[in-house]
Amino acid sequence: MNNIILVGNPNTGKTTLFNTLTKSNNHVGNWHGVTVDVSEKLADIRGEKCKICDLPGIYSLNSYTPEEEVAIKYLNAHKGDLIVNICDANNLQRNLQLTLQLLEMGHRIVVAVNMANEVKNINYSKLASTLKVPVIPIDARKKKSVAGLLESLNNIQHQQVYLPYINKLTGKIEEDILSRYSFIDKIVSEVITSELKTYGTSRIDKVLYNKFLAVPIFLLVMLTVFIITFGAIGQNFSILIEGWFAKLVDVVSDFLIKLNISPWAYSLLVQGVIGGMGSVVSFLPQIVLLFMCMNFLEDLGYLSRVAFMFDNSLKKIGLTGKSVFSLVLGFGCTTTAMLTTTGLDKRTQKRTAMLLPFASCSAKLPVYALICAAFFAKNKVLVVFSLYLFGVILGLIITAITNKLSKQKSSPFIMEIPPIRVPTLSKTLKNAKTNAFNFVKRVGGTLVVCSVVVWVLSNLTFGFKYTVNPEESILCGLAKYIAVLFKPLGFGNTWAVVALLVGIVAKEMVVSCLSIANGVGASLEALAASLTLTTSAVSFTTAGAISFLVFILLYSPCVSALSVTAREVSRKFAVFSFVFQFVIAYGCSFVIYNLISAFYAKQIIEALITIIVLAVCIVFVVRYFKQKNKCIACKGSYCEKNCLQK
Amino acid sequence: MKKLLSELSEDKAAKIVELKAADTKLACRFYELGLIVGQSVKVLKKTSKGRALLICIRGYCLAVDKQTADLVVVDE
Repeated sequence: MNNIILVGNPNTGKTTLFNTLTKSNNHVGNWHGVTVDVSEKLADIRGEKCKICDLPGIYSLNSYTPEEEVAIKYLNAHKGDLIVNICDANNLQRNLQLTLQLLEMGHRIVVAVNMANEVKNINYSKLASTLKVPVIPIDARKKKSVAGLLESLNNIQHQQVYLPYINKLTGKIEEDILSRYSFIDKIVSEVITSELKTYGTSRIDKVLYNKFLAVPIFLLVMLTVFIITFGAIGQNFSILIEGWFAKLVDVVSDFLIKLNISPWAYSLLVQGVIGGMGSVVSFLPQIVLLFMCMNFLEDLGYLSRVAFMFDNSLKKIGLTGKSVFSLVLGFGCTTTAMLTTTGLDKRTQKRTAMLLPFASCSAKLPVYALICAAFFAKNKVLVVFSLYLFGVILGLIITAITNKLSKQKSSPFIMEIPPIRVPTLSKTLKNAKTNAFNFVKRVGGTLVVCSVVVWVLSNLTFGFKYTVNPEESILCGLAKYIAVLFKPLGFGNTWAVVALLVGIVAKEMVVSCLSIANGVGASLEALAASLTLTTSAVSFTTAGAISFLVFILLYSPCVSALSVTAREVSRKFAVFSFVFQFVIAYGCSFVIYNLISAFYAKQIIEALITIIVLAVCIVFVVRYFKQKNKCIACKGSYCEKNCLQK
Repeated sequence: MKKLLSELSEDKAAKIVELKAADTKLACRFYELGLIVGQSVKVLKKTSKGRALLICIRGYCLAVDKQTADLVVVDE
């Protein structure tokens, strides 16, 4: 048997059928454009081995998006292969456009009408006799339902199908589509025995789109996702898995001790390698739960509805409605939020990835709690809330400015809204398993390598000798030099800088690093008190503490978030994000520290001068970029005619 | 009465009389999705200030933004 190519409109169930035929676990969703690349796998079809290919969804053989181009190129390169054209029974009229185009091109096809269980009034034998190709009703999720399709694949013969409108085709897209539609209307009037139900207009939809209820429902859904992922359920799973992992570490440690290996090798393996693996494992329960929630909402069809509701507001800053989920999840964990940007188009993905580090992730909360306990015990809620708000407002302003300066026009928003479908638990679990596995595969290696690098920096001296004294380590040595840079920000202290450097690996480690420096153990109260004492290894003034908080809020996301950014967007963008966040954090901390210091010292004139210098700098930067993007031909900062001439 | 699709009120249906999509790729996407001259279309929902619309065409739902809907002229 030849290769089999699965072709169809977006969100018709191609990947579901691919998974059923090949026993795979490729990601599927009730959301168009889930598959963005060609998937190929060998399958046993009635005793014969054949290759099955799952293509991204296409509406026709004219490409519009990069995914469609991939699919069309693949089809053109594999003309002799057998095509299974998957149509959605709920939307046969539009799906038949592609079917007819495939027949016009002379492809050998079998039409599989998916979700046939949802529509009972289609006469399939009449449809098959009109199209002169096998038409098989299926439910792609069920193996038994696909049996009829497999049988027809063995019997298919190559034959040129005569289509009555073929002589009317002129080569002009609009006229050809009209000819096809008039033929389709004729077919549909014959094969559909009663009117099809219009989906997307259910009572649930009316509630979800209600202008007073849409936002509260969305916030409630997001709160539920947060509670499940980062609340008691997620934490308990994390504790459970960390416990298992700790036991594993004990077993490995005992084994290494028995081997009598040198202390440095023991430390490298236990703290560097296994510690790095531990950081991946500690993320896993939250990742699995997050993806379970996301997959459930995606399969339900809720994501596309949210995208529609929020597209309007987010377009103003160059994003689309599809970014909403990633942005909200960014308050939980930047890494997981970055993973959810996969389905966005490249431009929106970059914008969303740029905005995400401004949403304060949950790992920064222990640092806020510590500094607030030390300096703002009475107003800690207000200070933490102000930090969150400051991050969001600054992120929105920067994204809006970038959007204003960008030459790129926002892409038109056209999206099919799928029907509400309650997903099965097994499908949700399968998807979550696949996503978790992909996460470990994509990020795990990078995290372990980074953990080893941190071990090398914090356990070796400049002469590459193993040391147990952190003061002699490369990390501390580097921090001593770098600390000079942070003096203008009010925390030019070696250990404060070490904490920041370690925070790049994981923000959770900042507090433990400060605790080690001040030698006060695990007590938060003792550590908070030590931060106010000038005799401690790390201490801050009030202005310095605020400046440190702002820096923690804004500086580079952790290594796992950066490695996901590199994988999902690009390496170049990950480097840019690292540098950009650092510059923004430095600038903001500098201004805030100097303003507060000036205010405390009653140096109002100095404070005013700082504000004026800052305003002038911003104006110059904005003007520079505006000038850079100006089109000489039409004198506009954004060239409508795309006639940019420098 | 001729008007832009974006100007059509919620729950109102009209026939498409003209497509102003200058970008041929976008025009092509319109045709594929069933947005062709003579086709009837119904506005199901509009977001605030009508910046995005949910329309029903050929029995399915399509979400479009105002800029895109402005390219479709309908006769109510």
